[in-house]
Amino acid sequence: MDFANFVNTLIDILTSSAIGYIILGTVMGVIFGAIPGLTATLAVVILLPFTYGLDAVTGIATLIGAYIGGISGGVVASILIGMPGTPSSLTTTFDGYPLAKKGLGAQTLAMGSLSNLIGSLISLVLLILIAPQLANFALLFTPFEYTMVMLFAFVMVAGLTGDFYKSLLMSLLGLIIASWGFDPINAVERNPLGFSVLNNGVPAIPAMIGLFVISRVFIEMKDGDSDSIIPKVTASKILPPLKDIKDSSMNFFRSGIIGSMIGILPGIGQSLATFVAYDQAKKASKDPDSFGKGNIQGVVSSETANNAVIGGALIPLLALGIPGDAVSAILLGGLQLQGLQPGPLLFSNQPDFIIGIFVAFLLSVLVMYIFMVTIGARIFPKLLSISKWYLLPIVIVMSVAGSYNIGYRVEDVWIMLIFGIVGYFMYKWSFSPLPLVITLLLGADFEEYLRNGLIQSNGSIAPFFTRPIALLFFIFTVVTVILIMRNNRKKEV
Amino acid sequence: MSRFAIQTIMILLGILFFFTGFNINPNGFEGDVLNQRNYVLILAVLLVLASLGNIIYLKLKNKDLPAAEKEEEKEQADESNSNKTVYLMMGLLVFYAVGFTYIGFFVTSLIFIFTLTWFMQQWQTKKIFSSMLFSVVLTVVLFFLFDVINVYLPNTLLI
Amino acid sequence: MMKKWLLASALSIGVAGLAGCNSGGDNEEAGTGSSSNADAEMDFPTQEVRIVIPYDPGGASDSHARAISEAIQNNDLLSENVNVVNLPGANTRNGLEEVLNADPDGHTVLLHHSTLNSMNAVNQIDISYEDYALIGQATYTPNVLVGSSDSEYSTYDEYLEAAKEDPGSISVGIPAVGSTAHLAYEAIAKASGGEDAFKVVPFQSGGDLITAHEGGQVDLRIASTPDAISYVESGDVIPLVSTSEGPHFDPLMEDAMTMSDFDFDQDVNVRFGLYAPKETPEEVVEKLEDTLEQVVETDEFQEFAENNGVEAKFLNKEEFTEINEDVQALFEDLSGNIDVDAEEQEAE
Repeated sequence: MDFANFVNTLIDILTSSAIGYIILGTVMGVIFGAIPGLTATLAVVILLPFTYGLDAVTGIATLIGAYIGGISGGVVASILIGMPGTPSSLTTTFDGYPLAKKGLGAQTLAMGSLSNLIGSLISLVLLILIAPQLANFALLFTPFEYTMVMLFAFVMVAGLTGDFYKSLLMSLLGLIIASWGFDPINAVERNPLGFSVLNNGVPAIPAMIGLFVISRVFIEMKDGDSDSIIPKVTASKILPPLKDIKDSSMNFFRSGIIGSMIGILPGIGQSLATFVAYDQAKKASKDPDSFGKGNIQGVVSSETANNAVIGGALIPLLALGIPGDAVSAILLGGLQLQGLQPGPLLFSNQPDFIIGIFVAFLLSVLVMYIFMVTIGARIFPKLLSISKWYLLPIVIVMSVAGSYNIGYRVEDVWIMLIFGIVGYFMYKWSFSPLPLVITLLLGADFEEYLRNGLIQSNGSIAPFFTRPIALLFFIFTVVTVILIMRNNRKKEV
Repeated sequence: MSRFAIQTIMILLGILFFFTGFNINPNGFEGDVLNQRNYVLILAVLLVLASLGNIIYLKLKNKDLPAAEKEEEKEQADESNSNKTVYLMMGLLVFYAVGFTYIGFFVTSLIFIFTLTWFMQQWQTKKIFSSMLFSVVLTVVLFFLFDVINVYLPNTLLI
Repeated sequence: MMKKWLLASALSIGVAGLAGCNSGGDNEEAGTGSSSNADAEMDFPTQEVRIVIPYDPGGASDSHARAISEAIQNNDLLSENVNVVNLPGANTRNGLEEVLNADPDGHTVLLHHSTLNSMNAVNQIDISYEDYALIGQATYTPNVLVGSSDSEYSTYDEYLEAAKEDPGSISVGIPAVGSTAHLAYEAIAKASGGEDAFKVVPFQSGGDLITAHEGGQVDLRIASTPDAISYVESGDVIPLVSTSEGPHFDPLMEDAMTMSDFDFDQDVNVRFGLYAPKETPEEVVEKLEDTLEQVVETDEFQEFAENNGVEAKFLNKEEFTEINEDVQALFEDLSGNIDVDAEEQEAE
């Protein structure tokens, strides 16, 4: 890639109206990400019609900016009020909120913003340097590999919670719930309970909003007598202490790679990336038991990984014309409407556009970081510290609006509500909803890959265990189970 | 909570889904190895077996009721009052969902936000005005927001 | 205290009143104030027109709908705004039912394509094109069967021969059971005498299928032209058969075999069209029909079609209805061995 070209495009964009749109998109994304109930995808969908009149680079750049901003913004609410701003920041709440309760909210937020920056940059570097090669790597993943990856994910997440066996049961239940709706191969309706609310199955995003935002609202109602949810936030610093940054360097790198790699695989998204990164950070830590109680590395791994997914998802999109996740599918449509043909020739046919996108991505990441550490770090804590009596209704209304806006289905609001109630009781009875979440997210795809794989192998289950990558993940799964069982035995002593 | 409550619930659910699974239409394109009905049936069976297995495993280990669980039972007795608050809130939310579907998003939001805010401040009379004002402002903001982004609202009685 | 109460009540009533005035639809004043002559003769449209598509943003239907709405607004073909509404869910049923049950005043129309016929033929859905008042066709595009360029075979006949010698050894990927592409493959198989020769592997979406084919999981892939064209251009795949009657309109694929090469007298193209609720009055349907015709003739729509691998071709109401009848009959015939036979659902 031509460096001089890069600099020229950079100057072009900075001196044109494009930078204005990028700033607009990114800031709007951050705001959407920060508000629990509204998601990054929603921000992109809303901005989409407004970008049609713009030229290709500006239009797509605005959408990418909203995506980056949205995923990054999620860190704010996760840390300050314990509700994930976006589903991708769920794992940030595990350690972010306890840290905030200890009075370390400002530093944690600064660290979170830095993680966003680094995660995005890592995936951008991969995107610029080796996108075509990485895209071909993605092609190695067939249904056999995906099935094993997801199996590994289910087992790993069950292990993250305290109670492995119960979580496994929960995962099985989650897979059954994920089967409701239409089956992925024949599109046959499956609605065993017969409630019309479940005609479309249980989509994961409203369920997550219910499980983690609405249930927290109930919890705050019950526990709280204090006026505001947010713990006291001391003066905000722009940069976290140097020592923390140095200690996290391995974590940044590892989580960034994990996020990018998972982003490259079409169909899997942020949530899995954050779980895997979190789990790996915990395993690599000298103090794994502190995870979940306020270990900053938990926040770092989660936020780095979820941002890294963004660049990763752009790789198959730009190099092969295959969307990596919901937002890149929208970008694909945006590209087609601009008259650009996504596909293997995009890099060679439209080099100016590609460089423009790289530049815009970089600018958007910088805008996001600057916004979050200057204005964001000052305003968000103040906004979130308004009295609980006002904050909670706003959160509820935003969650309702956010859930509804996914597909304009009232059923999604009901699902959000039901899972909010379920989440509350799970909290009361000390149950982790994580296995339910991961199976709801991946369940339908798991079924598709499993059944498709069986069709391809004519009914034989051998390829699931003999293909190298699939075998690798199966080994990971087995190792994870052994480690967990050994851990459990240790705890009992 | 009884020791094996979760596992028992899972077994019951597994049985439920196994039998309702037979309602699923198994037809599809030829060449489908594992059809959509069998997939669900297998999962249901796995759920029942795994729960049973877990119960048997725990019984074999003969673990005593941990001390923590006893404490939990005591805690629960203290909570009945705050429970009422939460249940009332759940009820309000159900009203919100129903109102949204049939009456109209903005009208329901107006009523809901006002009621919730007032209720959370313990129904104090002096808080009525501020709750109402807050509700009106928020609803108006939402109205313009939804207008700008062209949200498609369901056909309801009022707006 | 009293004053505050009055203020609050006044505010609430004011909001309700404002909202009440606006209920029944948005009337944005921005920009499109000029009314075209045709509007003076009849009272349509009086509020914003909504094109509903039963898919998520970013797909082919989405692009079509947005292109149509842009063309209408940029050329002032209608006096009100035209907006695209995505109503995904319940396997297109949500979007379809929304238009089915909408007020039949022409302000809510559906943009959909031949998949409506194919899903109905395999019994995945009980709604059919006959439940709507058809407006017209906007574009069409053939399906194309492609094979990998580094395979040992390079024509359809070679593949067919190899498959007949060893049934099931050559696999064909289809984007979704019940899609137009699926039935297009069935048509090719039937027309060439190759039924049961190939192994069919279904995927969940066009993107999944592309990944699978590029990754070598299946030998052949049937896809609509937009999903195939950039890969033909890059040399990754070779077009083998086009389901058009005559040669494919795109120069890259005009050498592919066609349906007439198999003595098959129908094409299996994907046809994008507009549908309105059944009871929509004649004049309104005709107005929409005229508008669609004008849209298809605009430069920007022609450009959109070119860039997106479809051919802009307007068919009026009668022609579109006729084609639908033919297509439905063909699909019913082809769906013999795919019948999903979904349970009779309560028609909602």
